[in-house]
Amino acid sequence: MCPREGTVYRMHIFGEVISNLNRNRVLTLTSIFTVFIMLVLVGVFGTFLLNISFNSEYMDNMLEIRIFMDPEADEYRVNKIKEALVEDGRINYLEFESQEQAYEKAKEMYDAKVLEYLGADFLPPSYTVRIKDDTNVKSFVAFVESLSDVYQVDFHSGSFDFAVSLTNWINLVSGILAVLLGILSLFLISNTVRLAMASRSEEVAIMKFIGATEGRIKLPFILEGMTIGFTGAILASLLISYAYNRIYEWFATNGAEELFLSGLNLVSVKYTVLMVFLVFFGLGILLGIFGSLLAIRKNLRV
Amino acid sequence: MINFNNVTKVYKSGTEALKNIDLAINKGEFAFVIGPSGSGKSTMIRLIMKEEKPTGGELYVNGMDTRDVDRYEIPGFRKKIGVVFQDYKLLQNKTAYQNIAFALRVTKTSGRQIRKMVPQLLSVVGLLDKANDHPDELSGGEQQRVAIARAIANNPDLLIADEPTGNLDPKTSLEIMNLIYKINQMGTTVLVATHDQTVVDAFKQRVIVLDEGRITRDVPEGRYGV
Repeated sequence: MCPREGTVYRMHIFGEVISNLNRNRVLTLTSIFTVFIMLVLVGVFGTFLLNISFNSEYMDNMLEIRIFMDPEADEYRVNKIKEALVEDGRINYLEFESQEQAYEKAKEMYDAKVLEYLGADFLPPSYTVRIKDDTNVKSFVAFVESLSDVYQVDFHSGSFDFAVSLTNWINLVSGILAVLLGILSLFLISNTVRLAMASRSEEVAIMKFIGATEGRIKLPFILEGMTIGFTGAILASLLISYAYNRIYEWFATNGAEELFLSGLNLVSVKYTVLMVFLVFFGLGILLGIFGSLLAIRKNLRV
Repeated sequence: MINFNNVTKVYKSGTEALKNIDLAINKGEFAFVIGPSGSGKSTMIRLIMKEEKPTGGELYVNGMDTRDVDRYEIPGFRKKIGVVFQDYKLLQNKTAYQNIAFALRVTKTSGRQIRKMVPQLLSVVGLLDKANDHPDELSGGEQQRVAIARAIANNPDLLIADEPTGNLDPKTSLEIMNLIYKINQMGTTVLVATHDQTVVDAFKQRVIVLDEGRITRDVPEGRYGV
């Protein structure tokens, strides 16, 4: 087969696929819609999670633990705590804040007169530490609290726990929904392809006795599933990309200051759109192929 | 060309469709298989087409033991066998030309070859002027001609016709059988399963009679009745 004829042959198969999908229009559209909805859902949660992971540095800061020491503790005792922390090995960052430094900071925040009256001595010196990723926060805090001269241990447990549990919940809920919708899409695609087969059972029978190969008989059905998945993926990618672009623009114009202050940043539109297209096309096409194969396996005996 | 050696076929339902069949059909031969409904004619064709497997015995088609034909080899195996059915089995949404082209296309014949071959095939069956007609615009005889053109499109060694005249009037039946006979004269082995006494008697070819899964008569240049 010369290349041009090969192209004509392929074009013929694609023509066949489109006209067959058109024959079962309602089911085809339903399948495309389900794939679309599933991918939109994956997209919404996915971009959210992408942004969370992008801002993981901010999340890590939530893991900063502040260890306040007894204001009475002298340099030797303060150093003892540092040694104990370093020796423990669970920290990867440590910064000391003396009573004087704390006093200077406090002056910026509170009424200077009151502070002047109180003096620097009442403020405790502190260590700010960051613990390694795999460290259990609570057990570490318990350890620090057990050290002598430790007056108070502060960490963003509330916000951190909330962020972690929110991320986990989003992961879980979106995962379950995506899987359920994925199964539904698979089922619908498989049903669409199955109907396509039923409406062309005679054609399939003729192909069999003419001597068409198994691949040639199955190929249009697989391509039909792929086309459904692909179309759903295009639509979902366009919607999510458009929506993300709008959200990004909105934040850029209205919410930039708040975002900057909170230390959060949005993932760039370019990167998000690229990820969305890649993931959606992969998922859509895979769903299409598997849906078709499911129908073929059940209904087509070559 | 076709060799049944003690072939038996028992379906899962328990029906014994063929019982110890011994039969040889040589290359280039023309043979009728006759017998009442349920006598085993269709099973015989299904076995030859490798749509079914024999329960016992050996069946050789085109020199190949059908047991040795793997699943992936079936298309190539079937490509060498042309089949014609009583109900023509044409695709209604395709023209006469497209129906024949379809058979060539699915067996990966090039576009250039298809454009060259289809008019030739239509001319062989005398339907060149009806190339663009859909099956519903053609008479029964014409539809069967298209089906025959499609069956011989891949230049098969063997042509099987399963009740090819079942839906046709006597005059058209004879025309169709003449066409099949002409194809046989060009070297293709032909096996015709039929109920049609007129055509069997008119052609005086080999007649194999099946009854309840057994060959009860096998005569060269035979007639329908004894």
